[in-house]
Amino acid sequence: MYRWIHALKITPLILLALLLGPKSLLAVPSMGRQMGMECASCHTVFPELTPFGRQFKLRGFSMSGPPREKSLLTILPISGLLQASITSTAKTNTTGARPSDFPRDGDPLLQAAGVYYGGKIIGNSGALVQFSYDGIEERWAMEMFDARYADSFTLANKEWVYGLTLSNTPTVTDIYNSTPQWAFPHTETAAVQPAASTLLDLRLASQVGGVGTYVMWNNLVYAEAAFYRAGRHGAARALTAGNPIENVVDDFAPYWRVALQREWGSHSLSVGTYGMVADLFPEGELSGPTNRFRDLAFDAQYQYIAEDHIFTAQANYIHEKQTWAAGFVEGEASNRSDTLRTLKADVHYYFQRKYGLGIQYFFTRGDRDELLYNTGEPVFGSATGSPNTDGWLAELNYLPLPYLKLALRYTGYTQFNGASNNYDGFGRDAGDNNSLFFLTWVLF
Amino acid sequence: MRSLRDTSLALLALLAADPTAAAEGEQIYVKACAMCHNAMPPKLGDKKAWEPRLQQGKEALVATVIKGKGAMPPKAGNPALSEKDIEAAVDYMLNQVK
Repeated sequence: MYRWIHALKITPLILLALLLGPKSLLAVPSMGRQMGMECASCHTVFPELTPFGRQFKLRGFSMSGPPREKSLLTILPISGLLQASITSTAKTNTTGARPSDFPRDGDPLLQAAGVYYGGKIIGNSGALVQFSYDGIEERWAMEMFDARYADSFTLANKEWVYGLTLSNTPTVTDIYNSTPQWAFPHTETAAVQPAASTLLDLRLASQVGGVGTYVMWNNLVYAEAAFYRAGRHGAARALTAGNPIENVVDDFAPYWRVALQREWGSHSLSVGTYGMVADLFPEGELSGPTNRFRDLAFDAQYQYIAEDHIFTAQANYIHEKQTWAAGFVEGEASNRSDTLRTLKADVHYYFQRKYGLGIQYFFTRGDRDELLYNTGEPVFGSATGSPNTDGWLAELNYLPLPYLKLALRYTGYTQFNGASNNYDGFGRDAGDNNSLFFLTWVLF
Repeated sequence: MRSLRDTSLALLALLAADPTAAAEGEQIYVKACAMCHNAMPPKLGDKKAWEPRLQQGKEALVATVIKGKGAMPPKAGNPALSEKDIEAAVDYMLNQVK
């Protein structure tokens, strides 16, 4: 039984957001101010990018129009962010489950509050940097960092756009909506998550610092290469400020990306592949043998953007080969190597950028590994030693204002950590982790 | 003789043209179009890039600007622009490649 009576507690936060929104919307967020354009130029519904939004990012966040008004806000590319949410899990009282396993369940939560530097720095350079309070982790930290320089030239009548990036998360630099950092559903919840996820699926988010380069040829082929290192070294420390570095990369981890895109009329399509190889020290160690993660991913995205109707679809498949050179010896993994495969596929419809519905199907498949997954824990463990998870989610959106998004999301599992029933060996079913999530998200 | 005729025609065309409209088109271009068309294709004045668009004709281009196409947002991302404004800006941009 959902404890929705608790939802009433979040009302003051929602009211605060609603009050903040319209007042602050007298000055739109920094990138819109810089371009003198409405938000719909760059976003279908934030944060999803349109073809023009991709161009703006590709060209270093540095394109600018004449300022509409002269004020401090038109000079400083600073914006604000506020997210208030509540998560309610279907069952929190199964055998062995402790209240601490669901620390924020049923409670109104200031999920995120912070500031963005979003826009031009100087010349052809710009940045999108988010420093914010994370209400789930309860800490202030560098959530997102993507600073870039871009330029272009024409060769044989075809345009080349090229750039350099400095970032703190693999895929944060990507221009498509199908890679993990930018993929639906865009925000995490406080609900219990499956035991396994791939490295590319944000396990290195805000854990690393990296330098990369990219090129777009003839608005058709996009390619990117980068190297990331642990956020414990040199400048990488500044890019991960406030985040405890739990996944420590040994040396440098290469990341690559290639995509083909086509735009015609109100339609656009992209298909691509990306990947990463990283050697990680076992948890709590900073030297010695490492475990290797080799990720290979494929993604695709389609968008139809018209005045009243927007339809988008994305798919993202990641295959990960895990080699437990350290974990096998230290008794953390039963197998010398494992594979993990994840798929997320979703469709969305928006009417007048105000009312929206998104539906996603997702699965995780992987090798059975007793030591890795059968941890003997209620709620989080897997009695079968399998990471297999299947589920779907549906999210309703309402945007009374362009910068205010209300989201109601239901996540349902048909399989969780290897089974549909009694997956943890303590009688907990996959469906007990189903959750309802309500979010208020304001940019100002 | 021919050059005299051409010069006369050019002068007539110049007299017939509305300088106010041209100035207005340039102003709208600077305000709403330049940030993109100075930086990305088709750039202002790039005859080769504009050639296929010239063949489409002004009406089709104005309709494209209003509706949006590919990376071009509807009304150049500025809903305050009227159809007349867009026509003036398109005229200005086409005149740079004629």
